[in-house]
Amino acid sequence: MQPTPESNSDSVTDTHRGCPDFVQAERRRWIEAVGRSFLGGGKNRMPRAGGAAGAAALSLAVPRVTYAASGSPTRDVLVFVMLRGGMDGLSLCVPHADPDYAWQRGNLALPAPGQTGGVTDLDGFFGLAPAASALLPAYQSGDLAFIQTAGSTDPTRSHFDAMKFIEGGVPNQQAAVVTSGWLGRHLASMAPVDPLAPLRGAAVDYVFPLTMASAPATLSVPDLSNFDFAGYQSSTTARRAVLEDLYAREAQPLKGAAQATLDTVDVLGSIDFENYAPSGGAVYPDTEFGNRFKSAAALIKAGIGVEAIEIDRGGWDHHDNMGPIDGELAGMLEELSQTLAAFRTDLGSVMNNVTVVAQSEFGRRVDANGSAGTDHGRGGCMLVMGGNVNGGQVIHDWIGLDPAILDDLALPVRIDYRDILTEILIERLGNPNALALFPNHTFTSQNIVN
Amino acid sequence: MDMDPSRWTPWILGRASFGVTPQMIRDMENMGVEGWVDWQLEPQLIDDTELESKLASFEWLGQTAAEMRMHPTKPDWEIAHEGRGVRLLRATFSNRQLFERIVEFWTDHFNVYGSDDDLWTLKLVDDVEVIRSLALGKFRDLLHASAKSPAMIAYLDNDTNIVGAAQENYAREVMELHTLGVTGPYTENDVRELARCFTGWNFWKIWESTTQYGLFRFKSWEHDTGPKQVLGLNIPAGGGMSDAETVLDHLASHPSTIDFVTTKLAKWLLGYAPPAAVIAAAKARWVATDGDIKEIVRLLLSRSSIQQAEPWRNPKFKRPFHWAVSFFRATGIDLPRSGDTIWTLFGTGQVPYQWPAPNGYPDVIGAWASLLMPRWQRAANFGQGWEWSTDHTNADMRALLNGTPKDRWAQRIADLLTGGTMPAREVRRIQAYIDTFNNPTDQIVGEAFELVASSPGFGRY
Repeated sequence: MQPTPESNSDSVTDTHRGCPDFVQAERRRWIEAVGRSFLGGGKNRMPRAGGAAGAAALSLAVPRVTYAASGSPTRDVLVFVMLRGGMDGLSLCVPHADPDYAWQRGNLALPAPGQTGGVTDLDGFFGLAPAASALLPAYQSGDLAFIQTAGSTDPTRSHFDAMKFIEGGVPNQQAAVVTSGWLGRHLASMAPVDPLAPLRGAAVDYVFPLTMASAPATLSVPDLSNFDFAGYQSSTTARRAVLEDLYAREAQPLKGAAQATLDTVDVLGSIDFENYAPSGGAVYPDTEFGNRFKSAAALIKAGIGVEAIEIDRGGWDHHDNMGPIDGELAGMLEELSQTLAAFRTDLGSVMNNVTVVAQSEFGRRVDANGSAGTDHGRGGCMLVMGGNVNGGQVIHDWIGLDPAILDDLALPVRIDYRDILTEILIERLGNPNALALFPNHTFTSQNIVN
Repeated sequence: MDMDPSRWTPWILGRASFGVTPQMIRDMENMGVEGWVDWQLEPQLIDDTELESKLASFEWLGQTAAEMRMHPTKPDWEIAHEGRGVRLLRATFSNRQLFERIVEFWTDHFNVYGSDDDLWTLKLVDDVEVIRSLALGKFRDLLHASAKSPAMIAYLDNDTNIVGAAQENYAREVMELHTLGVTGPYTENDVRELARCFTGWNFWKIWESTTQYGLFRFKSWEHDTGPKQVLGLNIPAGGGMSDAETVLDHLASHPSTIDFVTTKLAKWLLGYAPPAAVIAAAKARWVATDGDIKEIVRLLLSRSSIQQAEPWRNPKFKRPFHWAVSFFRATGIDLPRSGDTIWTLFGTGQVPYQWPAPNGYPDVIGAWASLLMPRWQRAANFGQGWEWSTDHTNADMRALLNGTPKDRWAQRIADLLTGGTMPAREVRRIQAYIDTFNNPTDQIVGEAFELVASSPGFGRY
């Protein structure tokens, strides 16, 4: 909203002054934010927020972009999802036929196919958790693949080191300081799809993810619907020119961030995220994560040249009361699955030019701990979804769950996440130099996309 | 650049406080850098009645978790929200500014997410009894207190760490994040053995006692009494709480801990890449004082350390909370509804006790630089007096100009907000904007404040 002097002239007596829709948006964001959690366990209890901000949203007078299928026929938009905290892949893509699964998991084991609450068989060996059943249509129609036994070859079981190496694309390289991410280097190494695109990459989050570090024309935009100058509209152009000059001589990353912010305002402001109506009857979960995907769909459909979007979801560090069947983990798998399913439905044929990759920094140990949870492990489960994914299969290099052959009580990493990403970057994002994005790594194709 | 030491003041204050004020600049100029630091390092002797009067209405402040839980009218989440506002008020209005900056450091170092079940109130107790009580004490005491803090126990799940079924969440993070650092010399086996040492470290649950709720409780029957080996230490069978206490003592003075924590503190106060010689001196001070935080801070803010670190040449980028607080401090805007101001700050990406992961809010420019729009938006609203949680008006902003002629407004505001560290070219550019108006209205005054607050010069410190 751009307040006018008139609209604020009577505000002196109003204790809650300012733009009413700004107030409302802040309250909404707060309510969402307090429900957010990360590694510390997502025992989400939503507060009953006191007081409603009842101000009516004002309609914006900016012309709208018409939503239409768009995007380059040769380069996909990549949507990367970092599931922070260590997602338990064994509770998503469940090895129901492995004789060493159920006894090690005890009460945390999901029932076999055919049993009450049992998993849905995917390929005779793995089964999909009931909480993730929203993903079945994508899997069955060949748009979704699971990659089991996947992960980073770096042996660390520290969340933060594991994330750093994965996002930096530098496992096993003892890098103390990682200053660029694999996705950042990808964008930097490619000419823009649209030479005029102000925003090539967007992290729908507050803190900028390392994955995208050093990417040109890339920003954190936690709320895509609220990316516009405040203050008097009459002076916006002049104030903006001042900001442009003020930041022009800054060093990176500030200079690039300011430039991208200034360049992006108009184009994001022209997209009506607030009133965006998903296609195909898609219903996103009304959560921060779901809404971020919904905004991402609007962003992609607007066809403004965005090439990569990162949307993270934390809260997977289930050391206690994991609840893979009807507890906390089940709820999070449901949110993840319903979100991805809605996104696919919403995008429809646009999905032929979109690839979604979701992964975690590691999986969890095979054995349950004493708190009905699991501790940090190694190999995990990646998800890859898109119109050109060789879906309908669980890609894996399974050697069993016999404790004697595990990687210190955890599923070993048998498929390098870099192979999955490299192939997508080459085949779907058209980067002929993708091999160079992951230094000191020899690429092996897993034939994940066509 | 060789800077005249008389111009150091705003840069040192920038690091040692949540933002300059004219009074604080006068204080440091009167006392000298080291005199000011010495004064600030005895926070209990500094008058803080203005802040205390603002805190008087938070009747739950200083209460036990049990008392907060039994609050007659406020649910725990509401107290937690007021607690975020209290943090904002302290950062903004306390005269014990260096102390508040060190509190901020330990709040991130021993991060506890404050919006969950027991954590709504336990974090507020942790803030008073662990972080604020020991922020300038011995690191060893702070570490022990954090380990026994019910907030930390609840946050990192040690309350479910029991004999025969150890779980390693806290044991891992206490070595990785609180002491040795991730490159420290510990193995996966050390993590598991330390987890066994911490079995039984728990707190009173609400269903166990409504009066003792939220207090530390060692459940000896849940403790693993077998022998353990951690980091080369042999912990004999039959021990109790002493098992983990022995390891905490070992960790508290381990060379890796001294290196990791001192370096992190030096980065907090001196810059993203502080000189090795300063870090070495601070580590030596740690050894000489058995980890006395006050003495380490005193060394880091000594004239010699500052001369070597040259903050004016190695600026840092304010994190969002710091950015907002420094604006409130410089302008003197009152925060009569601090909880509402917290809501405003949510969109900037940083609000107290809301970082979900145990590593605390990041203190690197790369994490925050691309989040400029939320700052610019708020700068506009603050400048125009449109901020819904405060009562200040355009007239208040104009009064801050103190009758300065129009052709000097940008310099006046820049000096007010940064103490004079804003580059001349930025000031000139903003003045050029002001100069386009022959007869500037209150709107333009507000925009002048907005532009200074939005500038890179105000963003760095």
